[in-house]
Amino acid sequence: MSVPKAGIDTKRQPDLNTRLDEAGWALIDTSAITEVELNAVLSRLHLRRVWACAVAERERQQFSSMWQALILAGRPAVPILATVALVLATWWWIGIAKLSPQVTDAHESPWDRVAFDRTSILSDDDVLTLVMNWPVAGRSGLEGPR
Amino acid sequence: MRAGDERAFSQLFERHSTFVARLVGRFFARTEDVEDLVQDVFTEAFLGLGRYRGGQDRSFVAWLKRITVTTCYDALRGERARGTDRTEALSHREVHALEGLFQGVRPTPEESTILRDTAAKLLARLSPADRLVLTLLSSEAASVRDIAEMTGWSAAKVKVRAYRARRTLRALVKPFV
Repeated sequence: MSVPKAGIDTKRQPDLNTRLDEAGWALIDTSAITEVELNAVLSRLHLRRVWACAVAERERQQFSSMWQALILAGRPAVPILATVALVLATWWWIGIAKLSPQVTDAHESPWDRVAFDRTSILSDDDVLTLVMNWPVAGRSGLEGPR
Repeated sequence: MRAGDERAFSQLFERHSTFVARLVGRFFARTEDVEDLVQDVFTEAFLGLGRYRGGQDRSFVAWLKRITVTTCYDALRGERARGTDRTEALSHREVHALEGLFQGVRPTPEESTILRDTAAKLLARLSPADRLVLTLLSSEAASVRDIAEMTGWSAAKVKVRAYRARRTLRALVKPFV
């Protein structure tokens, strides 16, 4: 048994230390598997199973390494892809903003809309006349001027 | 074998499985654990064969031994991480069996089983690194250089670890001697 002796306190209690060492080694030897059990293990170990396990593990590793390779290959393209995504998002946002309807007063009546619409065929004087003759109590939006 | 030849793998397995199982059996007494770990060792060897560089200095057996020791060390650390109860008190019967062992009394088959479980229980109180070094020193009669080779540690680290591990082992057995 090759055991390093450096630093071991063998001067003060050589006998006790020797006895403790022997007990320690005996403990380690006792904890090991016996020859009978070893043979039982070896008889149960089937080559086919070990081989299948090794092949399965190899395939698993190959699969994961393929993904790693893909990620590694795609990594340099990340800034370019991010820029493209940003440009597309900006473009989409501008398009949405253009298509959205103009802000209108939700309480505005259909009649008001026709009267104050700048594209209406009514002239400014017609509109003024309409407003002046507008009965305040009847401005429901559905009723026209009397 | 490098090409994944099953027949070559089988030859390798037949030739080395006994020594691998024996070495694993120094660390683990449960036969199921030994079976699983032997399988892991051969799987690891099969996958790592591309990294193996033969030569006079590095024999295949030494390479396989290194894989075995590393696998056992990982398993010991895993056992420790799972939180196996290391402070479990010994029963009167277990203490008696231990005292008998240290006095050189030959145990009966029944006592042998108790003794082995007790020994495993006591050794579980050591750190995985201590256990590794002590087992290799005791069972494999390995030198500091051999252990350094097997574990990938420096010789100085092995020496320090061996010194501390022996001190811990003495403290562990002292109440029963």
